[in-house]
Amino acid sequence: MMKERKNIGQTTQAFCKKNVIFACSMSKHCKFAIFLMTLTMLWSCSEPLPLEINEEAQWLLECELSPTKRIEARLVSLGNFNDVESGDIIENAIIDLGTNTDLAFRFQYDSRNKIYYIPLESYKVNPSIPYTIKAYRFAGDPNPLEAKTTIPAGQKLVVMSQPKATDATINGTKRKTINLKLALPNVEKEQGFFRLFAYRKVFNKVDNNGQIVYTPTGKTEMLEFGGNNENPLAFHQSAIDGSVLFDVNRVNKQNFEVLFNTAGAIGADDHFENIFYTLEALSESSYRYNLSKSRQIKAELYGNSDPVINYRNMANGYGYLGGCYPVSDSIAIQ
Amino acid sequence: MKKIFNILLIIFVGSGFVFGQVRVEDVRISYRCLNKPLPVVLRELSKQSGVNIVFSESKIKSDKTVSIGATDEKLVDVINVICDPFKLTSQVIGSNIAIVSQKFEGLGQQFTISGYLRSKEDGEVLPYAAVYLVDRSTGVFCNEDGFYALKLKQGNHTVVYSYVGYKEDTLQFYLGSDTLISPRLGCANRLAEVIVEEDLTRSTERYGETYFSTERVSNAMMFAGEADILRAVNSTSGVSTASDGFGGLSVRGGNYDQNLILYDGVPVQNTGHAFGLISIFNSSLIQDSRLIKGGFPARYGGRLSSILDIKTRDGNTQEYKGEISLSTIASRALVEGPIVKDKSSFLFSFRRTFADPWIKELSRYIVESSDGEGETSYHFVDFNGKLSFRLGKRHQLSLSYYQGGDQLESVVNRDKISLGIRYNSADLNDQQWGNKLASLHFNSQLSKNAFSRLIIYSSNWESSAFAFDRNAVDSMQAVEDIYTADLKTSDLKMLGAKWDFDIQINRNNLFRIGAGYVKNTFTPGFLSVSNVSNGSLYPEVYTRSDAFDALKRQAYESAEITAYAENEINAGQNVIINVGVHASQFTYGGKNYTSAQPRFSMNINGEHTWFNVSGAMLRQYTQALSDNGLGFPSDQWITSTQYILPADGFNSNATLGFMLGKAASLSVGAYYKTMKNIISLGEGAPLSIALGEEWQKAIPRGKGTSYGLESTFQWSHPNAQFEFNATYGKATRLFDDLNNGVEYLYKYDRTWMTNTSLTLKTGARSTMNIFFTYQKGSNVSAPTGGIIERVENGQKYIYPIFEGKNNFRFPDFIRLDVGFTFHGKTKLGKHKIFAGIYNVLNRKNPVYLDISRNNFDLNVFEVSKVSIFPVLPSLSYTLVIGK
Repeated sequence: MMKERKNIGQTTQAFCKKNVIFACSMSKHCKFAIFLMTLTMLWSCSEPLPLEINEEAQWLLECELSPTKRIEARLVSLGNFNDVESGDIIENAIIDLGTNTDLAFRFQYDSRNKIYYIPLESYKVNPSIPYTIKAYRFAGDPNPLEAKTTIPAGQKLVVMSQPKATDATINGTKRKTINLKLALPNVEKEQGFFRLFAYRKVFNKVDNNGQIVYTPTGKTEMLEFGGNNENPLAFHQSAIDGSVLFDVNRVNKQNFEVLFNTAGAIGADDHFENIFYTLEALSESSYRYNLSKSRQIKAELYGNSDPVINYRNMANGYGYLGGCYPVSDSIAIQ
Repeated sequence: MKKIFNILLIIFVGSGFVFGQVRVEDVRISYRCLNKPLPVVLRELSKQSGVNIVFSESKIKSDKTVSIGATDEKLVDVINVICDPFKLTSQVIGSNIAIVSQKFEGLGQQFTISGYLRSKEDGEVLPYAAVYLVDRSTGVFCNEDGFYALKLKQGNHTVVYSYVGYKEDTLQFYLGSDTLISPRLGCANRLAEVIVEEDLTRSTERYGETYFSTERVSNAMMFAGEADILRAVNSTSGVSTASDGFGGLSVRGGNYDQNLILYDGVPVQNTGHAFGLISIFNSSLIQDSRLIKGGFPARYGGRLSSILDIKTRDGNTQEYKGEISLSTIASRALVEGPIVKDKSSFLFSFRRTFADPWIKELSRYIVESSDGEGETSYHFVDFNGKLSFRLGKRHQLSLSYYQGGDQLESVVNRDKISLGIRYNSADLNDQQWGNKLASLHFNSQLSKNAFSRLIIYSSNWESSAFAFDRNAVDSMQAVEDIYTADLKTSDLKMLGAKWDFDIQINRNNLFRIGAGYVKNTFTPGFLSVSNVSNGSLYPEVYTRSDAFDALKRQAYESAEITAYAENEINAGQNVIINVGVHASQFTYGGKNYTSAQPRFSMNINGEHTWFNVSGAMLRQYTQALSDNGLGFPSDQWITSTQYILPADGFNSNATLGFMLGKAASLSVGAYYKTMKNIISLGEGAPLSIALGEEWQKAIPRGKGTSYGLESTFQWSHPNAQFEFNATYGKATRLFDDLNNGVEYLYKYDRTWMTNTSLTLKTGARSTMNIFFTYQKGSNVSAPTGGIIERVENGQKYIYPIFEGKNNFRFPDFIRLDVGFTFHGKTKLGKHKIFAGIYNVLNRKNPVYLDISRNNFDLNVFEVSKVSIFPVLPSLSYTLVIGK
């Protein structure tokens, strides 16, 4: 049931009384003239904006190349921003991938998952080689969607301090938090973009003849990044997939801090052994596209704020071709 | 030896003879001769005119003879013509004429005339008035306090005192010692001469500055019947606002926070009532203003784009006067008069909107017509007070106070039932903002040619914006009742002192030095809560006081020390060079920023052409974090900190001007400027301000560039005044964290702007004003499509795609205003009625783009351009009581 709520716009009697007294003290002509002028003056005019959207719907292609994953591409047509039914998935396009000079591999279409792919066994991409993708609306399309990228080299985090988990109250709940001092000393300046996932194993507490032992449950739990609401780390750009996107060139790559928090409230006997992480070195296009997309989706309130601008490196359409090289490892926690 | 002779000659002549009642300069003569020696001619002239002409025959060695034919010419002119080939000239000393060497004239002793220039009517000082020799060979402008010092050679001089709107005064005198002259200029008959003729040949535009006299402001097109200095500024080249005067001013592609606006020397942050539609500056009080867009003198600092120096007038020292005014939007009253006649005065003014009852009624009608209920209440109020005391002839003390503020409250409730589902929404906006300014001024003429000015001031800016937004959906399946409440506050307190010292070292050098100190305290605040966030329990209705109770704020303190040195050099008869350096040290915690900013400008003034060129390095420590660049009061004013670096800029400018006959002028100029470390809010979400300083790291920092061409044509006639200005410019920004690191057009990159104004005398007591503006539309970010990114419970969620920041240009901004002013005089006082139509063409110029999810269907985005003012009639009546 909807609750009865106070009508915060209710007019008070005092207001009406005051208003009537004011109005009565003026002559009819004067009142009429002022009312007319005020009426005209204060009339706020709001009109629908005639946006010029191409008759032919724009396409959006997303593809991230990784040496360790099956290559997949998502192709959709953009809809009208105020019509949820107008956009759709494109199923009959021709998408080719290859090096700059040889677009040798054509994507297959997975109709069940509605995604284009190249089987891992048939084509493997490698770092430091420039790749090109093209998507044709029809055979012989003179203006295909086109983008280029290069996969960066993988990187491993260097732990600069003895990691230790401490209890902390974050946003009203008790959690474990670890402040890690890390380094990425071998990163080239133009390859400073990363996506970091972190998780931990979940343990069961077992009393083994008076000796408490913790046994893995086989489950994992993703870790959160960035401290709490009052102390956010500014370079953290949390993405909607639970990862954090960052540009290491914006911090001291020889020694920077990252805060990891357990996601939910913990009990008194919480056990924390390792941080398992996957650090994905990203091409700039991957970093910028995913960052802008995450911000766009998280930015529910537009209000007076300027909107998030979507990144693209795709010519003749929207979307991106990016590169990603993941490296996984773990960090032992005291 | 020759010099000694000449000096003795002058002493002798000066102490000796007396010549009747007729002034020697006025003696006229008709004389003819052919090939006569000069001594003979001089004796004949002396005899014929009766004026004693003293000369040394032995010094006239040339064998040349003199031939001349003069009919009713001035004796002095005749003598100068015949003496010139002999490298001699004449000097009038008392009632005698001495013939001296031309070299001697250049080596004569120099003395200073100095003093204050005041209005005869009310004793008010006249800032920036012109003081110059009648032959225009030299001259100075008064400073902002009406003080001038002019060094001249010993001898007779004719000096002109001139000020826009006042009758020129010409004084002839013999200068034999340093002299204090404080003339009073009579006011031009403003009833009969409604149009004030600007002397284009002395136009201050020549010096890269734009002056706004009281008349120019009151002649500018009024909005809602209110004369407004910022609207007058907005009508000049290179200056724009979002639309219809909304928000702050963008000068030559700069941000609105890059304008140093001084109100009696006190910096003001936000200058707008009604979101900038009407400035906080009551036009009845403004004595004089000037806008500097380039060629920044070293005495100014702290902003990158412009200086707007507004000076209020003192109260009348002669008589009591009053003024009341009623306009469509506000009413105001003013009283002034002497405390002790000729020595001290008071001035108080009060202004308030009086349309608030109608605003409520009208808003209620508008909301009800769209199936809602609610109302909007709004009012602004301001008060000015000034006490002025003359302490002897050389000192003046004044105390100024300003307090003003706005309050806006809007409540809208909507209830709708559709297909068995009940939707309910409630929006509340409660905003309050205002300034408090207080200052003490002590001006002192320290010597014949030195002037000192001390200001102790405080400037406080406070704003708060509370918004409550509730949406509820009640269906058979589920009940959703979600609200968000946001509170943004911004306080900036400045407490400072400034000291300026001007000294006219000699005829060619006006040297200024000064120092200042200001302590800044800014206190930002931000709170955003939702009844579903973090599982916390919030009250059913979250009120403004709830938000203030929950808000955690921290004050951040900083201090700035400034010093400057500036020299204005007369580098020739027509060349003025201003060089200087403005230095500053800014301290925040343990962090120090220091800066030395060289400044240079050169003006070359010919009889028919002029040219000025300037360059300035600039630094800005106080910036505004703006939601949308509009300059709304909810913006956060912050100073540099450990993480917010000072903004630096370089500003250059060159202008070439021509006189087109006696009544018209044309100037063409170019500007180029760069900015770095300017700040902006990030994309997508409001800045999350918390305790500590980490939040400052999230503020994007970037660069800006702007360049363009400006042109102004002015034509002046006793019955008409016409001005046309055009600007072609480009302004861009580059931020790593905005627009994906790609350079983009600044919001106010207008490309083309033109303003045309015509003031026409339509009768003995009436004038007509026409103002037309054409500008390319401003830039906004508009979505180009949507994409489904999330599907939950079978519901598709669509998100808009924005391909670039400011990727969409609004339609061209076009507005035509027409106004009529009628003057009258009765026993009661002077009457002035203004009737005008704003936006005669009823052009719906958009101000901003509104993008929001539909309240009842969150999957639908509503994008609309919002224009505020259609055709708008306005009326104002002003009564000035007193002579």
